[in-house]
Amino acid sequence: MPIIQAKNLSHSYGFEGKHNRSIEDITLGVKKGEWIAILGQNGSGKTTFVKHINALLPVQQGELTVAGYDATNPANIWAIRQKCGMVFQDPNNQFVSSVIEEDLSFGLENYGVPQSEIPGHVKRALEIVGMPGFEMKSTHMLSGGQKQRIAIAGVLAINPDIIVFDEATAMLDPEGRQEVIGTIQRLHAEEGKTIIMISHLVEEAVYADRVVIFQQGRLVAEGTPEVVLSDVALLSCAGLKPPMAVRAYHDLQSAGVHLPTIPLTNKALVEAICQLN
Amino acid sequence: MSIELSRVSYTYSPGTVFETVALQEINLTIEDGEYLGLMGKTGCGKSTLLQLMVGLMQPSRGQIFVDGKDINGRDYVRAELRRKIGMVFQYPEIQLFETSVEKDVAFGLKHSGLSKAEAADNVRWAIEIVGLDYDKIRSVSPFSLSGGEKRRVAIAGILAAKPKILILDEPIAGLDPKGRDAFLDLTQKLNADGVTIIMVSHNADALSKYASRIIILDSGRLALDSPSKDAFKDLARLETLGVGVSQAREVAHLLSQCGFQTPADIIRYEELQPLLLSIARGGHL
Ligand SMILES: Nc1ncnc2c1ncn2[C@@H]1O[C@H](COP(=O)(O)OP(=O)(O)OP(=O)(O)O)[C@@H](O)[C@H]1O
Ligand SMILES: Nc1ncnc2c1ncn2[C@@H]1O[C@H](COP(=O)(O)OP(=O)(O)O)[C@@H](O)[C@H]1O
Ligand SMILES: [Mg+2]
Ligand SMILES: [Mg+2]
Repeated sequence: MPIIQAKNLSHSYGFEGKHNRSIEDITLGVKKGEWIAILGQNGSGKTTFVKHINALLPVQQGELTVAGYDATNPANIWAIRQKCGMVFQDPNNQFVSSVIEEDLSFGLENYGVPQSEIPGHVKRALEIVGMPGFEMKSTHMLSGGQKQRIAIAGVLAINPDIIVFDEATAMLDPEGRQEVIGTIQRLHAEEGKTIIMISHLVEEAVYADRVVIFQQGRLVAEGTPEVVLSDVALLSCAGLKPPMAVRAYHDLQSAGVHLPTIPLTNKALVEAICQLN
Repeated sequence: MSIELSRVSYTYSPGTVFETVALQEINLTIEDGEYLGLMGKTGCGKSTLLQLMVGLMQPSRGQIFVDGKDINGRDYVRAELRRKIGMVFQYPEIQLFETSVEKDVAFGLKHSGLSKAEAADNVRWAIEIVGLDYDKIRSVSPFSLSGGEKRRVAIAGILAAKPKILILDEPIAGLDPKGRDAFLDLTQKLNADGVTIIMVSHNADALSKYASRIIILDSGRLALDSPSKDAFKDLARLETLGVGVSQAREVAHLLSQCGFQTPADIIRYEELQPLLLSIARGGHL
């Protein structure tokens, strides 16, 4: 049984002047331990969809189960939130306290973790995000990238089965981004976490097991990164761009040079070219 | 419209346990019409530097001159600075507060001296130029927008005032790929019209393509200042500075590791493409 199963899920915020549904008829099953990347233009419904998985938005229409819990039943909200942690795109709205240790402890206390175990969880979470020893620092003193890493630590501390990253790397420097992606890879490969990752960087979607594309509230395509990210027509139709390596593959192709497979990464591109020679 | 920083240092919360030295002895001149990319790892002082340039904070030591005038001097007219410089903050969407998109974008024009009609024109222009549908979005509440849409509105609010110097702190994070390209193309067009652009970004692809000069900060010090085509040559040094390189530069480097000779100043796809072709065809050493 899939850990997340959405059937014909639709949602409308019902604001004046906004008759359109923000998501429309979304059907998607996610297997336990799967890593899903969601791509799509601004306003295409990505955040709206994942907020359902975390029970931040109520199900208006359609069906949704998360980790065996029926999300249409309001009694399950807290159980679902415990199973599914979420890292948002705006790090400034994710803190409850200005001292990092207090901030991270707050979430743990909420979920009933014994006081004596809290410092250990906090320490480990900070280590995973590459900020050991930041317990007593103030969140106000952090620059953008550092804040985002603390937010991720806050979710990791609670140890949910599913972790949703809504553009969590958007503000990070290359090092920070690599740490976060590396962390996601570890959580996925070693701890069997189910990962849902929204990103505007197509290069990050390469790591996922499956890529899902949203367009104007609808799920318009899904498949392996190899299939979806090399489909230039599909991507362009959804307002997206393929990785540079795919662009290079097609440019070489039209100049009469054929690579055996379509490379998604720069490394794969260079390997393919080197093997030609 | 030059900006000159002379031995600028900045320390947050001096004399307390939170004391943080954010900038040290920065000397820097930015000429009229430049397109400058500012890079460096998280916490290196980029946002601090920008906030000093727009006069939001005063340097702990040193001076900042805009058009030759000390902006922290006793008789400097602050309104002058506000008219010349527009800044898009790192998280611009948190500054949205009006009840409609149109009002939000118009807010910065309140004391601009523009007539009502002129202001309305600017607002419409700015909303459309960031890729939003004016008629559809003008009366919508900014709080009911997606992340990327909010960012576009916040950027429009700055553009509406048509500043001569545009300072952008991570403006493209959160924009979708097309929105990103469109916004960068817009900055290029503004720059061609004489607007000075100063942009902080971790996106080396964007800065390699658009900026003509790159500055890198490292722990509050100026670590590199050079034309963009030279800025990305020394990969080992960039790694210690925590700065990434463009995809084209990365591919050129990977090719050189395979034994092909590749110039170290390839930073854009257009420069890489012919090289890829000649290597793939086997005609390259
Ligand atoms: N709180 C809200 N109230 C009303 N409408 C909203 C609200 N949040 C989002 N919307 C609208 O719903 C649609 C989908 O928004 P959503 O935030 O899901 O997009 P997204 O795909 O996450 O976009 P982005 O890439 O910009 O983050 C958009 O048209 C947006 O304007
Ligand atoms: N409001 C603040 N109070 C105290 N320290 C700060 C504040 N803002 C930034 N800092 C510190 O100043 C240094 C530079 O930060 P910042 O200019 O935000 O860097 P960047 O924008 O390059 O990520 C960092 O050490 C950061 O922690
Ligand atoms: Mg979103
Ligand atoms: Mg910053």
